[in-house]
Amino acid sequence: MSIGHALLGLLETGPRHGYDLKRAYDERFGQDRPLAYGQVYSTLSRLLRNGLVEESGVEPGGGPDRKRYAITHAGVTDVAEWLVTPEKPQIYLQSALYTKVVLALMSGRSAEDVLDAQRVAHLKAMRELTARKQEGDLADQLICDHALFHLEADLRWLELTTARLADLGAQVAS
Amino acid sequence: MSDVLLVGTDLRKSFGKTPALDGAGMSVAAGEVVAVLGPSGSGKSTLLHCLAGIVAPESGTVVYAGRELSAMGDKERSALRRGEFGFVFQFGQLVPELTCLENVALPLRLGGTPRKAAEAAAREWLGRVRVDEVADKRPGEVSGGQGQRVAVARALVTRPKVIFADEPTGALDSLSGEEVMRLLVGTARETGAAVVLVTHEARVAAYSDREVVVRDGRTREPEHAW
Amino acid sequence: MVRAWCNDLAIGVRLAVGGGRTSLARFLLSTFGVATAVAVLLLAASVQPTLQARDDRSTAASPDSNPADGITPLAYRSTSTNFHGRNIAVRYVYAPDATSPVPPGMDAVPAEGSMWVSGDLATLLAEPGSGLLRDRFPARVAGVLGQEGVPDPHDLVAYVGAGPDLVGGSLTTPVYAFGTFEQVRYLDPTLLLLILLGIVALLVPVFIFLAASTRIAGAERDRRLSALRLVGAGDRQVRRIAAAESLVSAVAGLVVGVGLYQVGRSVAPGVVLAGISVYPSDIVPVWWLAALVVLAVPVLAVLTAQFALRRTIIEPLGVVRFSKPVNRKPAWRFAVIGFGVVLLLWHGGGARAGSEVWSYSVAAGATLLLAGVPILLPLVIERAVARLRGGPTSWQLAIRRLQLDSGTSARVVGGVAIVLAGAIAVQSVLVAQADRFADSPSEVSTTAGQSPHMQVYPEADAIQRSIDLLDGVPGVRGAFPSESVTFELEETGMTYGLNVLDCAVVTEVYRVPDCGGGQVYAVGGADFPELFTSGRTLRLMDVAPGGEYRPRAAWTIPEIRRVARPAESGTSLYGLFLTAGGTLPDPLPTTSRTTVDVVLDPTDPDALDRAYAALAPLGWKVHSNEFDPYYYGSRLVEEQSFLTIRRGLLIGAVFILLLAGISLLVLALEHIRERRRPLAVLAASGVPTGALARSLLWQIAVPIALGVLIAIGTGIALAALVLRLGNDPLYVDWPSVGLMTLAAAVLGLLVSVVTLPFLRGATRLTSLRTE
Repeated sequence: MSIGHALLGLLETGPRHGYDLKRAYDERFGQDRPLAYGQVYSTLSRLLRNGLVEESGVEPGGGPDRKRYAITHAGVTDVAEWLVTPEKPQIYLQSALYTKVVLALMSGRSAEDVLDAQRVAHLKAMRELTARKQEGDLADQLICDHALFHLEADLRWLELTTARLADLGAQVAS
Repeated sequence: MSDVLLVGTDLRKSFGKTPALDGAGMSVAAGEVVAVLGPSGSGKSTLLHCLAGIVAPESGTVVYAGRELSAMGDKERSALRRGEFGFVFQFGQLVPELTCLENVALPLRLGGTPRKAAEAAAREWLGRVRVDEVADKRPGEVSGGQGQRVAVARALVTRPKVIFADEPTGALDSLSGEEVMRLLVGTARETGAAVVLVTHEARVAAYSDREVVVRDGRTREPEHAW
Repeated sequence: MVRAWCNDLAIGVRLAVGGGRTSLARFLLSTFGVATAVAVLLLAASVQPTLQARDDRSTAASPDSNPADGITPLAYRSTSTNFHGRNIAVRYVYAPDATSPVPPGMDAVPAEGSMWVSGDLATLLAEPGSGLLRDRFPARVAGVLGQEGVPDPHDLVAYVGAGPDLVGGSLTTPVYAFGTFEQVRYLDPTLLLLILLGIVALLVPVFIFLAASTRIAGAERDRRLSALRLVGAGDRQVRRIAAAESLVSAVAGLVVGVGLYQVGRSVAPGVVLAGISVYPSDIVPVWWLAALVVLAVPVLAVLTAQFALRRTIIEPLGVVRFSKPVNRKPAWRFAVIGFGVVLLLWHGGGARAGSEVWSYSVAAGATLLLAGVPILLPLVIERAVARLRGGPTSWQLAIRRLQLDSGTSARVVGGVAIVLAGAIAVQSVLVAQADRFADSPSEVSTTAGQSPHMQVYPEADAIQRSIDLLDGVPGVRGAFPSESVTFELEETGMTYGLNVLDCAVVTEVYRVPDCGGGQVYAVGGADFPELFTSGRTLRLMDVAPGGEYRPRAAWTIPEIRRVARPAESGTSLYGLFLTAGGTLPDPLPTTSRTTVDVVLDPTDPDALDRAYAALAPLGWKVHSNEFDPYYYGSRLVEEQSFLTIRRGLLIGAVFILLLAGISLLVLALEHIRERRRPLAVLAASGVPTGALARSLLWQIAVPIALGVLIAIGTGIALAALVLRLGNDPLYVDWPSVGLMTLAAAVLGLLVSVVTLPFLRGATRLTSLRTE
């Protein structure tokens, strides 16, 4: 994900200090990976250089964290363009799980056990996400749902694969 | 783990020549939420029906709170369904002639509670699942999500020990489904009821404490999930 | 325990009422069905007491002339007269003192110059067009007779006060009491049979409709009950709830039915059936029959509801119905019909027609035979449909559906078929009877084209007076006295009557210039006894005081003179007559009272009434008849009865067909609702609505067609068996069979048409939505 675009998007709601920006980002998008300060400032200086943000004021005392940044017209255009540009669907043609199943079948081990173990793990993760979703705010719900749907997709694949194990075994063995 | 409330062992049941259950078994502890997962036609609904005493298995036992269901008469089992169990199905469980309020009050009234008291309790439950506004409407006049919430209220109104839910979100969109699941599991936990949740959706199963997988009429209960 | 039961019943009641539009419709339909059945049954239960009440009043008003001590008899003379085709009973009364009996319905015996009249006569007298009737009854109306004095509310009765000379009147009877004689009613057995058949043919479908209406929307009820089972209602509990549910409409129907019955009672005087009408207060059901109806209807409703559930196990997840119901056994079905046939063949084992055993065996036989129709129909439909294959989509859909479940439609169509069978049987019997009447002289009397005339019977001292009174009345062409003699033919010992006319009349009417005494005339081609020829000697007879004939004198028949038919008419003006005098003894030994024949102007419709009015001053001393009204009148009344029965049956049949149509409609609508989704899916997948509509039509038409076939067969068989009782030849009234068949076909079509909008509603794609 483009951190630059995310920061630009945050700045669109109003000028902020660098520290504010980091906090806002972490709050909304950084559940798993909070931004490092260095990353914030390097990104901001790149945006400044490209004319997408401008310094809108410095509070007395100096230092980088006293600078307020505001989005420029070019920045707004850039954000708008970014939002409507579709993300490339991520296709995992060769996942680790697929590899495990095939290898289990080839080596005569129980592929079903592999799948079951994976499902238990997936469901465990999903339970945690569900629990977090129920306690969290809207942002939590959205992010958890996103993850839940992905995990569910994995699980569906697991179900389907389990149902097809017999066919798959015959194919791999040949 | 807490006390085991309901145990089904080695259940077998076939419809015609097709076996639906072929030695399935599972147990439910008091207050826990168990998901029964499996592809369609795997026998998970039949398993639920057997556990709830709706369908009698051809062999195997179902023991609820130390009493064997197959040894009970219809009257006793009906009383059990009325007092100790609650049901939330995909659809078709509400009586279309009765208003939502009356539907919720129905299990109480069947058990002999006077109308006023039963309806007062029902109204309170409708409030808890946040569908007070449909109290005087008939099931045909409310949305699917509202209908399922009414069903949840009805399942809970007798303060049952076990709630059997068979694809409770099957006919709903994701958002309504989420709502219903939240209310069902949330209120069940508040009242200490166990939930047996049959579903083929992992997202719904994620509301459970643990899962049981049914495949070809047999259960696979992953032991490390305990 | 009791509380739990009450609780279950309360739930059932709640389910039955106020469950939205569809359940309201269901409730109203079954209530209406039960109400109709109750009203009809209560009316049927009231027939006997109603007729009894009438008879009781007739008895109460019949005079008793057996002398009783201490009572001065009431002088009583009963005559009757006609006004515009309606019969008026006129009774002249004179009470010598206070011990004389008072006829029922009045406070006191009317004095001379006043009278008591029945309510209808009072109304009739008061009508503007009744001026001549008022002239006929110049007496003051002293009061209107109470109900107890008028057997039929529409009877026209007048008790006219007379003077003391009434006591000496020739037709006056002394009356010591009223109402001590039992009158014996006798109904023509054929009429009785028709009524029995009619009642059976109409009541059996009522029961079927009753049973059907308590089972309306069975599939929906099953669904409801299984939902109840899910939330923990026991098996028994569910059955109790179902019972309460059907009980609600049964009880509501009972209440409405009693109301309908009351309405029926209150309009009863307006209904004239077989020349009979009744007072509302007469219509009281036999108490135990009424109790039976009131008890049986709810019990029947509950039983049919339970019976409908007999082969179903209501499970929490749905209703398990043994998909292939136990093979419909033909044996008992045929046994019922066979027993009915046997009863009809036996008909009371030679018991007299009209006796109780006879009526019961015939009624029971007819009932069983008719009941055979709905009993046989499900079997026939099932067997017939099972063999059908192929055909267009609509046909295939319909047949497959019927193969799956033909029971419900068979039951409803059974109601239609039984009406048809009954109606066909009754019509055929009626037509056979009507044939009998076609030969009757009533037709002749109306087509003879004679000018109207009347015959006046005055007391001996009023003969001349009545002729004088009639003289010069507009429309009266002539009034002349006539009497008759009786003679005996020695060879055969047979006696004959012969009119005696005045020579003046003969001259005037027959244009005979040389009329003399003791001559014999034959008018036109009049028949007379073979041995009545000139020169033969007859014995003239006289009447002894005991009423016996005895020979008085011998008389040789002179030349018989033939004369042409006169332009005028009158009873004495036809056939043979003779003139007094000549070789005949003087005075003539007349064996009849002298009558006055009145010839009226046929172009003057009021002539008759004016003649009656002119005779009014003579009061009781004269009574008159229009030409032979008694004999032909009674025939007409009987014919009228047949017509009335026929009309009643037709109305009943139409009504029952309507009921059956409603049940068919309910069935069709229920079917659409039940199969909303499959129908919508079919429509969505491109099956045209027309094909679906046609399949619905077939689903109704196929059972109806089979039902009609069975109905025609049964109806004709029943008619044949019944006509055999009266040794009448079987005559099938094919036009009415065709008409009824057509009615059934139209009914089926109509029901299908009415269901079309609902079908469109169901096939709209929104129906694909679940719940």
